Amino acid sequence: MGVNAATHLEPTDIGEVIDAVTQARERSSALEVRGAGSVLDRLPPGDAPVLSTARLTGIVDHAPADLTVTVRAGTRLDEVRDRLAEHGQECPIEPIGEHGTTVGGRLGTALAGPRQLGAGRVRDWLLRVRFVTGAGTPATAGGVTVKDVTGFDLCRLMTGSWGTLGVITEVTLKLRPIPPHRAWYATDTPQHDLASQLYRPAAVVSTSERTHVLFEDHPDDADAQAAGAGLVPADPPVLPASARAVVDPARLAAFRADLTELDLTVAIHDQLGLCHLDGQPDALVAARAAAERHGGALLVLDPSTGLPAFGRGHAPSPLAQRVSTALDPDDVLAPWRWQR
Amino acid sequence: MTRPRRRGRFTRRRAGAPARPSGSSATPGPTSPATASGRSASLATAGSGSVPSATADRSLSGPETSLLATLEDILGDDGLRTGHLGRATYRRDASFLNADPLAVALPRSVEQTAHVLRACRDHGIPFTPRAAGTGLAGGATPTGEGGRRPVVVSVARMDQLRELDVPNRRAWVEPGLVNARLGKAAAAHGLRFAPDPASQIAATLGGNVATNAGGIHVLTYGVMSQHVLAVELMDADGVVHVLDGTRAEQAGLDLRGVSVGGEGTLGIVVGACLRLLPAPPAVGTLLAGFASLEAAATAVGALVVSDRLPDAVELMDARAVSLVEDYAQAGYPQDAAAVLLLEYEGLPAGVDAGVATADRLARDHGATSVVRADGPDQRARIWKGRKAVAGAIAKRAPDFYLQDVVVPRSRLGEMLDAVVAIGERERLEILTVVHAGDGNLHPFVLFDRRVEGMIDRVFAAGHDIVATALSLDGTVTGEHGVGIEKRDFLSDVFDSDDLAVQRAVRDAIEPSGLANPDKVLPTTVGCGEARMVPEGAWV
Amino acid sequence: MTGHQEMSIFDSDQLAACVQCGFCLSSCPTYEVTHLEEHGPRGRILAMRLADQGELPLTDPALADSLETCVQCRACEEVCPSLVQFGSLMETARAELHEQQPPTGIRRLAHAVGFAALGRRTLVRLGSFGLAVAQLFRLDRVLPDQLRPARRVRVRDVLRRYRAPTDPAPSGDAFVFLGCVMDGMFRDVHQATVDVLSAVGYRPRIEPAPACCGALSAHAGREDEAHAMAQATIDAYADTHGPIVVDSAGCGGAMKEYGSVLGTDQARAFSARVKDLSEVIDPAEVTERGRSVPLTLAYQAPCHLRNVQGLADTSLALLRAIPGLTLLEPDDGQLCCGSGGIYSLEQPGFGDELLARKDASLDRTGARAVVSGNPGCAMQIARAGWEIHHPAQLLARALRP
Repeated sequence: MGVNAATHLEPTDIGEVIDAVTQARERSSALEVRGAGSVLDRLPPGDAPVLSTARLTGIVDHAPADLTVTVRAGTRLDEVRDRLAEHGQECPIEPIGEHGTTVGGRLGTALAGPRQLGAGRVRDWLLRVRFVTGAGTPATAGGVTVKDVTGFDLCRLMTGSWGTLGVITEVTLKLRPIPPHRAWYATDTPQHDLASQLYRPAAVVSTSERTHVLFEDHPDDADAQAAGAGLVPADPPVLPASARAVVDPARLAAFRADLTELDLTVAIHDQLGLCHLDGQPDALVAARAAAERHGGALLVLDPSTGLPAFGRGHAPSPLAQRVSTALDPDDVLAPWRWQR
Repeated sequence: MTRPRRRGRFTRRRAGAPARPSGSSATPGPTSPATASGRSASLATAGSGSVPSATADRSLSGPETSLLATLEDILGDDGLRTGHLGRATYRRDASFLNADPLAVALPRSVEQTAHVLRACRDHGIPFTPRAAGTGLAGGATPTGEGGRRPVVVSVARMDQLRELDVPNRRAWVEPGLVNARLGKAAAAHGLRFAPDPASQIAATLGGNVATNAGGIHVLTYGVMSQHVLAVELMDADGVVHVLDGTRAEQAGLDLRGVSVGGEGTLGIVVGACLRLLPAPPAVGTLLAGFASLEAAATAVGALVVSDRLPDAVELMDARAVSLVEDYAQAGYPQDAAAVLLLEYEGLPAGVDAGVATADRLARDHGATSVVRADGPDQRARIWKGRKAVAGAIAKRAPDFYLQDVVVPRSRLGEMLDAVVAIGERERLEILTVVHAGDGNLHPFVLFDRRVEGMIDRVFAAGHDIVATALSLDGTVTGEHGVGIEKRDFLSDVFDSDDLAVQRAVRDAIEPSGLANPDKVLPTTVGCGEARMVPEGAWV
Repeated sequence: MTGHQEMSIFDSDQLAACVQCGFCLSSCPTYEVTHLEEHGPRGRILAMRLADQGELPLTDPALADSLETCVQCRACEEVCPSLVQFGSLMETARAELHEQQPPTGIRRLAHAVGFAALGRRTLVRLGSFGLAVAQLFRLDRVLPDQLRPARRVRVRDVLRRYRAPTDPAPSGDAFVFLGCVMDGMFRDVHQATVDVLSAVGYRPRIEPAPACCGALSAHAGREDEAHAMAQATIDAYADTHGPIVVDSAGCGGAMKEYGSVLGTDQARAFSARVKDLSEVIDPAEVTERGRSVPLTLAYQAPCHLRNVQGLADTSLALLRAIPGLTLLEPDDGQLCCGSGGIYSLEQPGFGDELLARKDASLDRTGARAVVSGNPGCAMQIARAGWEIHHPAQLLARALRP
């Protein structure tokens, strides 16, 4: 067990995770599960007792022929990326922010980068998860094969559970070959008008100035698509990072209209209904209200804003609360998570 | 093009010849005479009979009698089947497991479904959700815990495409809508629905959601779950939970994800929002013949680690290839020991590059023939053959037991060898088709239940196939689901803690225990030999 | 194969061929109406099995209903990967039902008169003449809707004599099969067939003119009568050579199956001679020589052309070869219109519902008229107010001298 165990636990194996959770439970205490802190460090409250995955690291098994990799939750994403690249493979889960973001953190938060348009959501890359529930029970769900309907699909449930159901200790991820070619383009054409002209771009992001498009295709196809849609090669867009809002894509237009009245820097993934935002706290508060009006939610990532990370849009449904209680009956795991 | 027809050699039974005495008078409903005056009259006569008389030959408990009366009030004569035939036709799905339901309810709306489930709850009677009944694991076989016969609740009548949202590339569907019909509707707008199980011409989307169905394009497109944006799940209280995943990053828990593949044990899927994709501008389909299974399996290994993943990699063994040729006229090489079907979709240059790579890799690994489909017609025939295997089996044997196991792709060759050895050991004909890119094998064990003792060898073979897959780090079902058939194997896949967590999640979502009881989770954890025919069911 | 077979109604191998995969469900028009297994092919086969095993008698009302509501369109055979001989199983079931539970009352009388007439050409023509006269004076309105043919039969057509050139032709003789209802009520179609055959180089022959192919009897379970009619038809053509061209999909389908139904070499040789009109015309010739037929029509493939003869695409391709003609396909997967021989009379509930669905799907094509090559379909669809063209008439217009 790690140093300064009273407030900062650093278990090195699943047994120590079980011990940490069990002890917290017995003490009627609670824990914040944390990876590298690339997201959670920014989330108030920042002073909760922490169970860190910092020493639950390492690539357990990379099976190139099976297109799978098994890693422990605290392993840094860039370490995994480099190892996979040696075999021409990747798992297209992207880092968030500039910190050394971890695999467990990406899965726990389910926050993804622009490539989720083409590559799919974080949840779709998880094949097997090992975790320790809030009751201190170690469990495995899923398997190392790409197709598996054996039992209920708890992999999806654990993805994006924000450390409230269990401590993810190890995951097996699905891999794919690194695309043969990858290039960003840009245009002045609004995203909306581009959609019908492009076949499955890897990412489309519009900033206030331009629409940015990423192709991960055969170079001839990328060139042809770019030429057809009037795209020119460009640098990747820089995304605002204070907050991100999601709404149903069908309601994005209305949400976007509300945003134009606020003093915000915005980058929008049209087809995903996802917006990255920078701005003063009052503008973010207004944006959050707008997102919630449109049935969405806004997550504040920048602690300097002084705003709660989560809003009304994140409030768990009664059914979600029942599931949460089933796996964490004594509220050991981040019971404050959805507070605002 | 007329089909050859065999004329049956038959001797007729005369009226009054012996019939099994019980149940011969189960359904004294009115006949439907030629002079029936109108639609409603004629349709209503289709054999339901009235509740008391229809079930007079069976002893019903008080709650059962009361429930049937309530259901008839809710559904009318036309929406409830309680007679002998009406119930017998719902004893099983496309699996070989039978059980007798109390009745069959066919609600026409979400509201009616809610009333049906509430009535079941009020009477303490379980229900078994069903749509087309094309499932292969007995998920829709109406078994009931403790001898309580369930009511089959068929959502087949709720079959509308509620909304085709072209700009947002998604569709809201009712659960009874047939998979292929969504595909057809989407195609008219240049869109497609990716999950394509072999049964897609009849299987419904509600069933696809409930079983987390797969298909032949899973390798790059993923299983059903990746294409389900939202699920409307009705619990045993008749309350609809909208498990929303229409937003890119869910706020709160992904209950949508758990409900996909819930196999009716978490409630009834009464609606879903499904993701559509643009139809690929180019498609390249290859058919490669190999002189041995091993060579084909090695080629698959090479394809999977090549720099462009095929969108589909299907392997069929020689027996499967010869079986479907009459039906599909797909042009499979009849002299090959194994055939690979490969498909690349997308933009033209990428497709051509993929096809060229595959062609080279196949030949490098001993392909004796490689043919690229010359157009949509040939492509359709190639896939028609692959999708016809399950049905075409009947030409060889009256019964089959279809397995569905997965192994890591690198163990495919070992698994294929093991299946051959198991067939030899049990003196059974086994033919195998494989979603090879996914490591997902479908061995078909052929048999004739009329042959004494054969069924025991079939189950022994099935058991050994599953055990072998597990020993190769694989799993017991890749896409057909656990249902009732694989239920007891879960104790071999998961330990008691794993299962306890699964059970806790299920009970949290569906506390009543009335939704499709006896399915998915083993009733007794870790107690010995897995049974393929659990109590309450029969072959 | 096994002991209980002596007692069975059905061929045990044919019944066993169904593996209950359910692929057939969505192809079945009656299943699409009720979504009940007992109204789908899989449930009907299960019903046959229950009867075969003695679990339920064939005459159990629910079981009999399950079997009698089948429209026998055989769309399920088209999608069945097991190649189950559903049509044959169903005819066996109907024959057995007919024997165990013959029609009674008014239905018995109607069958007795109707089927007796089919076998006698003069009676059919007399009936058609009577209908034409009745329609002329609007006396047919006294009949209930179900029994009132929507087809307008003109006295002139009933009395029409076929005009066929008698000179030898380059392609030799082609025999136009007249049939019963077609000869009584669709003489204009037959004349068009004669003209088309003549235009493409055949010498059309009207004689011999056997009375009825027996398809309607077979569907109704009148097996012995059907076999007798089949044999009489074969015998009638005994001394002739050349294709027997059929412009009714139902008759053509039945006649192509004489070989397997009767199981004799003579029957098989006969069946091999039977051709649908679409099989003897070269589309290229139609495109090359044809005059424009500037119509927009919905294409309705008769079930027995599509599912039994497998010629829906052939027929469509031939019609598409006609210059100026625009064909639109309904979006219903070509589900049966509910005609089914006398099905629409026997099962008006299903028959009307299927017609309503067909009507709606034809409507959605945007076309104002329909092309369909079967008398049953033509009369059924006409009941919904549609103008029906027969492929032979369109071809005759295109190829007129």
